[in-house]
Parts: sequence; structure tokens; C-alpha cells
Amino acid sequence: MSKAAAGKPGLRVVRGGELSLSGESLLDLLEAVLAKGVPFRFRARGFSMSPLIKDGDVLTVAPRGEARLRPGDTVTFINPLNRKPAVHRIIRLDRGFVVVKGDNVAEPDGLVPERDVLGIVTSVERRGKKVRFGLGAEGRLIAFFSSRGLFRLPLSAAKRIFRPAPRGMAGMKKSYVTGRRLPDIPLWEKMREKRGLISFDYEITARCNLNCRHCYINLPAGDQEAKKRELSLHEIERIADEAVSLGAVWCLLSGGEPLLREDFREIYLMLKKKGLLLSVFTNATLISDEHVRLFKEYPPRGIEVTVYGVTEATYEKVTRKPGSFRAFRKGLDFLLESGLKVRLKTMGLRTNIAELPEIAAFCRERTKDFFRFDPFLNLRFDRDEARNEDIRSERLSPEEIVALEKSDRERFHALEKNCDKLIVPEFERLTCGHLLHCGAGLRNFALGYEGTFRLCSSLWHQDCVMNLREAGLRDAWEILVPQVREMESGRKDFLERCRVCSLVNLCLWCAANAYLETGELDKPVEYFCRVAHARESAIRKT
Amino acid sequence: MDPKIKMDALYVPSPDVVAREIEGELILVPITSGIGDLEDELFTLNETGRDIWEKMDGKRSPRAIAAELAAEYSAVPGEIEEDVRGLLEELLKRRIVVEGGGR
Repeated sequence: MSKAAAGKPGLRVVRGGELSLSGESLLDLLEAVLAKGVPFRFRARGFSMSPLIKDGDVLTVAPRGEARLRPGDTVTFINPLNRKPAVHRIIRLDRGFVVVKGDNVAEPDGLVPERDVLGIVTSVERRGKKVRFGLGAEGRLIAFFSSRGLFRLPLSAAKRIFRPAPRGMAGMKKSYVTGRRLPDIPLWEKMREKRGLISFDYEITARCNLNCRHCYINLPAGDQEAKKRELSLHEIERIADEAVSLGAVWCLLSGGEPLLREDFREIYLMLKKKGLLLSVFTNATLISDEHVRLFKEYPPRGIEVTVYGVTEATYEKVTRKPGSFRAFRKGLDFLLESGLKVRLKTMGLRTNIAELPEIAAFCRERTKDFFRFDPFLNLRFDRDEARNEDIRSERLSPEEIVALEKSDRERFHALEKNCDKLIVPEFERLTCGHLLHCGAGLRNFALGYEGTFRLCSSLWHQDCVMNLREAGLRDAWEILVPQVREMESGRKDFLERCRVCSLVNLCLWCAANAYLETGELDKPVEYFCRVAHARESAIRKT
Repeated sequence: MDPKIKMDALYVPSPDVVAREIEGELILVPITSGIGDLEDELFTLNETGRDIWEKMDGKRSPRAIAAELAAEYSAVPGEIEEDVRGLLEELLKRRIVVEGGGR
């Protein structure tokens, strides 16, 4: 299993697991910065300090100065085993030494000389927000319990929630069953504490009855070769069983057009009966009486339909399929009239940009709680260059994207509100070479029509995928994913340009998209750069 | 009118519900419509509820389950019987269990 290790030049795999700081010269840098009495910020990797510190959190470390170390302090120290800097909690002081241990690991790291404690973690930020828990007085409690192997915060908290709660006023009949909406399940809280599978996206076919200009995965409906390569019901069941045993709760069925598969009903019911919650993405043009009956009897968690246009001319200019607009309207009405929960969305395209306000109104009229549009078009999964040209020609210019975002008041307010967090000057000091800073492969994965396991639906690079016809899902999940997440880049223009860019939160760049755009996982993409800078100037102007 | 539990009848989990253990918790996932009030509603049982659920194998009546639990918990039998009845009534009302069994 050295797929990733054998990757292209510039990529390397380093051992994961421990919450160690990345970069060869980081220790020197860290010592130098802290010696000057200046706090140091960096992005953490690993899970050993979960739930306080999670993979990808940004930590601020203050110099120790003259402060006395105390049990409970979360500190950076030089790991005695490998002389690399790491972040763990002090659980005990011992005559000039400290005993440090990760909150989420069973054994302490051993004795560390006090002088090897470089600094104290004073702040943890996750997605731009400060995490409070575990740095103050609670830190001492955690140290106390942790030193006795008793730190089990998520579990005890969850148990409390699972106790029978009297419904309504005291003295009334107590309720024995807790019915909860999905987002309220305390399990989520629990699973947030560690890497664990929650959901997967499955493209049950790459074929589609439409031929949309902007689509990254639509092979012709009659493509017999593609059809032959599709996973059989039996193969799907084997993978689903593994996914369920790993903890998957939710599965998104997409395509291509999923309803094109003649055995859609069998696949749907098989997955449903495993206790998976299912969502379906469809273009609605093939919705039949039978589908409606199926969905009524075995309700999906949601159905999402994309509205490419609200006139026949625009819709069919995008889909390149005569008659598709009428089929779409008929199918959508069918779903809505039968009371099924449908969510509508659209893509911002060159072909439909003039009609976008009408499309938005059409969607909002029919689905009150939800509407979104996406102005970013992914390039092809198969890197088909002719089709990529179609996609590029449908892309909006950075200025058009910004204008659209500004016209969507809700969306722009959200951007504005987060303004100082969207532009993060601190990123300019990042020295991390890791390619993935996102959540890919932490709680979900994507499964392709021919059984290709990916960390996310866009990450198609050959070093990052596994064929589940030949390997088990567990291998992919437990061996491949950590390897891919540890992939680093040594590429100069990536490290000096993208990695240290303060606009990274405004940018479409990610390793997966970089590969689709350039054939390399760590290459800057000019179009993304222009979009990010256009967004920046729009934000700064207001 | 809520369904009444017959303490000597047999009840089993409905085939329309999948019971799954995730992270050590028992989660009941309805697969057909009309069980949850909302499409994405799931159910969880607390520890006592889970003990009762696991004994509901279509061979033991609610009364027998209560008697077993009373022995395990060394509690007053009447009280446990009330709890078993309460839980089963709620599960029956939501079609999470159905009358049947004896297999």
C-alpha cells in the first residue's frame, strides 16, 4: 500500500497519528519566535488532543516566559522520542520534569524536562471561531481525570442526554422514547470527537439522459460500456454493509441521473433496509408514478432537483435535449403534488445567467426553506478535454460571480458578517505543506459508479483513490485516507503563494480542484485566484 | 385512542424499523412513512429502554420481561411493569413494535 508514497515528485507521505507540528524546520522557527516573546500561530494536525484540538485547528502558543507550569496546561513541547515539537496536556509535575499526555490517547508520552516545554496553548480556533473548552480551569479537571484514565467527556455528556426526560410539566406521564430530528441527535456531538464515518455519496451511474454543457459527470444514457462497468446490486450491498458497520448513517444517491438505472428501486430499498437515511439528487425528468409511490412509502430524507432554466429555450440550451423542459416540469410537479420534500437549486451558468432572477423566484415559490445556487463549475471527472472546454465556456467571470453574490442579500450579508474571518492575515505565516486542510475523508467519502473510493467527490487523483472491487472499504477508510491526508507538497509556488494566502477562505482552490484544473494536486489555478481577489475587493469596498 | 398493551401478549420490533448500534448507542431508524412525525426523525432508547428492547424477542411477554428486569435491577416488580408498559405503549403507538412473535 504505497500508492500515495509512489506519487508524483513533490509529494511525500509522512506518518500520521500524533499531533505533531508539520514542517522540517518548524522546531527552529518555533523556538526562535517564542524566544522573542511573541506568540506563534500554526495549524494542528492529528487527533490526539481531541476534542479540545481537532485536525486542522489553528493554535496560538504563547511563550512560557517566567510562568509556572501547571497540570492542565496544554503545551507545545519537544517530544523526547523523536525530538519533534508536539502539543499535549500536562497531567503531572515531577521534580523538573512534566508528564504530558494527549487527551485522546491512552498512555502518557513520558517525562519531558521542563526546559523542553516551549510554550502554552492560549487559543484554539476552529473555522474562524475560538474554542473555549479545556484551556481554563476545566483543563485542570481534565488533567486530573486524564491522569487516571477517566477522561471520557463525550460519553458522559451523551449519556445524560439519553436519559429519559419527562415530557412537558413535572408530574405528567414520562416518555420512554426520544424522537429526534436528525440534526439534534447527540450522537453527532459524540462522533464529532473523532474521525468516524457518517455519510457517503454514491454516484450510482455516470450516465445521464440529459447532456448538460457544464456537467462534470454525464456519459450518454445509452453508453453500454459505462453501463457494464456500473456496480451490481450485489457489489453495492457488500460496500453498503461495510459502510454501515463503519457507522454510516446517511447516503446520498446521485449520478449521472440515478433514475436511469433500471434497478434503482432495488438499490434504493436495499440501502433503506440497512437503516441508511437516503437523499436523492435527480433532474426529475424521469420521475414516474412508480417512483412517487416508492418515495411515498419509503420516504427519502430529501430529494434535490436542479433547475437549469425556467423557459424551454434556456433549459434545453443547457441540457441539449429537446423535450427535457417539459419532462422536468411534469416530473417536478409530480413530486411536489404528492407532498414529497423537494429542494430546488441551480447553477450559475453563462447560458442561464440572464434568467437567474426568474430561476431563483421559481425555486423560492416552490420550496420555502431552501434555495441555493452554485457559481463554480467543476471540471470533468474523466478529464475529457473537449467537454472541459464546454464547461469553461459556461463559467462566469469573477466579476459576474461577485455581482451575483452581492445581489443575493442573504449570502452577501453572511460574507460581510464574517469579513475579518474570511480574510485571515495570519495564514501568511503558515509553513504547513499538507495538501488537505478540509474535512475530506474525516466523516464521509464518495463512491463512484464503477466502485472508485474517493475522499470527496472531486478528489480523483490516482494516488488518492482505491477500487472497491478489489479492496475492502475498511482498507480504504483506515489505510488510504490517513495516507492521503498526510500528503505534503514541496512545490515552491504552492507553498509561497497559495499556502500563505490570506484569502484562502475566499478561494475555490483545493487540492482536488487543482488536480482537475491542472493535472497536479498542488498547482495554483489562475481562475480561482482571480475569483478570490474579486471577492476580496468587493468585501473591502463595503 | 392510544393502543393498550396486553401484558401477556407477544411483541416484536416492526420490520419497518431498523435498529442500529452506532458508537454504542441504539438508534432506531424508520424505513417506511408514518412512523416518525418528520422524515428525518430517528429514535433512541435510554439504557432501561434498551434493556427492554433487547428482551423483546417474540418469546417473552411484557410481564415476563418485567419479571426478568425486576430480578436484574432488584426493584419493585410493579414499578418495572409500569415502565415496560409505558415504553411498549409508546413504541406500539409509533408502530416501532408490533404484536406478534411466538416464532
